[in-house]
Amino acid sequence: MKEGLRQSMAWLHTWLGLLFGWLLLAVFVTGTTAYFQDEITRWMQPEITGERHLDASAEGALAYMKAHAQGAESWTIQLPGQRSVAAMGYWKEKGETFRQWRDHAFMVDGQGRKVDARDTTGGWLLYRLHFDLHYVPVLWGRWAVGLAAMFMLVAIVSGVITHKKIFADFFTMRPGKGQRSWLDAHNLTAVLALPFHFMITYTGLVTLMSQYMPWGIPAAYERPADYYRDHLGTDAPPKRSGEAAPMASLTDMIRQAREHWHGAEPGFIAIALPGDANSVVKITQETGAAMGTRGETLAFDAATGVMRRPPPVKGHASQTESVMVGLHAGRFAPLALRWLYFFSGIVGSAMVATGLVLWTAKRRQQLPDPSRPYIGFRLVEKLNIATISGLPFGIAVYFIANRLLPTGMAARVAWEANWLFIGWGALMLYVFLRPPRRAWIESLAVAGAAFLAVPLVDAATTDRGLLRSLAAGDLVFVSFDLCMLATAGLFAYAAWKIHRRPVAPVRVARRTKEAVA
Amino acid sequence: MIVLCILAAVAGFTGLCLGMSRHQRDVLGRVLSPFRTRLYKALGWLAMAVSFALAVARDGAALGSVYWVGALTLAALIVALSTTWLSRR
Repeated sequence: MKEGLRQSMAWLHTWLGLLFGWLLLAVFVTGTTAYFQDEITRWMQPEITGERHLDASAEGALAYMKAHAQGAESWTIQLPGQRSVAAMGYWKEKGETFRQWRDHAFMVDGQGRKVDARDTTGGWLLYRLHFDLHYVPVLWGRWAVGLAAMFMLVAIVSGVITHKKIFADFFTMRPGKGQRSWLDAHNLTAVLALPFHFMITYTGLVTLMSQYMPWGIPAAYERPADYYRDHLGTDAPPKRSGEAAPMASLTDMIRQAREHWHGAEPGFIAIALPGDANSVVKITQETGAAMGTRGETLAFDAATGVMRRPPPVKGHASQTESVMVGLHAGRFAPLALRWLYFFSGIVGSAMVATGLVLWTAKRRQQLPDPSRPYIGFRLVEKLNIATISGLPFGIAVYFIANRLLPTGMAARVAWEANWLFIGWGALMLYVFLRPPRRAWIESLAVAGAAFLAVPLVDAATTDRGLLRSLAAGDLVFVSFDLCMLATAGLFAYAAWKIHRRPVAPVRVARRTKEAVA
Repeated sequence: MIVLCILAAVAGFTGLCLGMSRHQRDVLGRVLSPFRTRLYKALGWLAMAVSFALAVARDGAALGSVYWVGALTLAALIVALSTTWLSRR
C-alpha cells in the first residue's frame, strides 16, 4: 500500500513537474530578479544620480504638474523607495484610461528637478513577467501563473512523499554520476530550501487570491466595493465641484502622514481633481515599511490640508494576508536578508531546472536508440535547453537593448521588452536546429557571452562603467555589473563542463542486433 | 551579526553531517564511535539553537525567524557542497 502511494505520487510529481516546469522556471527566474527590481531600474536609468529626498522630489513633481497639467483628472507621484533615488510623476487627462499613464510620465530626482532619463520599464518588466507574463491579457497571465503555482504546491507535497530518504540524503551530492547526480542536485536544491519553496508558492497564491478564489467577497459583502474600501482603504472618487481652490501644502500633509504612522515614510501620492475645491490627496505608506503592510492609505482635503478619518485598523484575517504577501515580496527586507531571498530564488530556479533535466536523464538510458529518440523526448529536451539558456539570454539582451536603443525612439519601452523575447525566441529557434549536445554547449556559451557583454556595453555607452562605479563607490552599479559577470561565469562553466564530458557511449550491442536483423 | 548567525548554522549543519556514518566515511575516512557520533549531533543541534537565538536577539522573533530560515538554506548548501568536495579528494 505504502509503495503504491509513493509510486502514484512519483507519477504525479513527474508529469505535473514536466507540464508546468518551463513556466515555473520563468516564474522563478523573473521572481528572483524582482527582489532587486529597484536596483535593476536604477541601472537601467543611468542618467539619474544623487541622493534620495522624499519631500523635495514630491514638491518638485507637484510643481511640474502644476505648470504642465492644469485641469487633469488626477496627478500621481510615485515616491522613491528606500533603495531608489528618483520619483516618478504622471497625470491622467479627462477621458483617458490609466493604461495611457506613460504618455504623461516624467522623472524627478532627489532635488526636485526633472531629469531626462531614458524611457524604460526597468526591473518592473521582469517583476510583471513574474505573474502577468507578457503579450497576453493580464488576467490570462495570472490564471496561467496561478495554475502553475497551484501545481507547484502539489509538486512540493508529492515530491516530499516521493523522496525516500529526506534525512539520510540531506547533505548528499554525488557529482559525475549521470542520472544519480541530477536526482541528488534536484533533491538538494528542493530539500535545503524547502521552507522557502513552500512559503513562496503558498504566499504567491495568496497575493492573487481575490482573483483565484473570489467567492468570499460576495459572501460577506453586498457590494464588492465595500470590501476594497475596508481592506485597502479605496473610497469612491470625488465629484468635480467646478469651483477652483488652491492646494494646501503637500509637505505638511506628508508630515501629518509620517506622524500618524509613527515615522513610516509615504510611498505613493494620488491627487484626484487637482485644483478643484473637492480635490482629495491620498498618501499611501511605503510598502517596505514593515513586513505586514500593503500600504495604508490616508486621505486629505486638498484645499485645507486636513486629514480625513483614517481607515479602520485591519482585522486579523486582513493582517494575516498582508504578512503573507509581505513575506512573499520581501519588500520589508533589509539588504542582507534581500540577498538571502535572492539566493533562495536562485536555488528555486535550480530546483526546477534540475527537475526538468532529470526527466530526460532518467529516460535517456531507456531509449531503444539514444541517437534517435522519440519525438516527445526530443521536444522536452529542446524545450529544456531553450528555457534554461534562452530565458536568461533574453534577459541579458533586454539589458543590452536598454543601453543600445536610441533614447528618443518611438515606443522605446515596448521595444526593450520585445528584444527580451526576440533574444529568447532566436536562441530557441537555434536550439531546435542543432543536435542536443551541441545545442546545450552553444546556447549556454551564447548566454554567458551575452551576460559578459552587459557590463562592457554599459562601460562603452555610459559614464557609469564598472571601473568608474568602483572608483565612485557606487554599490548598486558595482553589484549589478558583478552579478552579470558572475552569471556569465556560471553559464561559461556549465558550457565548458558539458564540452569536456565524454560523448555518451552508443549502445553498440543493440545496433549490431538490428544490423543482423 | 547575520554573518555570525550563518556561521553558527554552518557549524550546526556540520555537526549534524558528521553525526551521520556515511559522511564520516566520506569526509574523515573512518566511522566514529557511537559516543562521538552522538556528541557531534548534540553539538550540531546546539549550534543551530545558537544561530536561531542570534537571529532573534538581533531582529526580534518575526524578522529574526525570516533571517534564520534564509541563513539555514545558505548554510545547508555550504555544508552539503563542502562535504561533496571533501569526499572527492
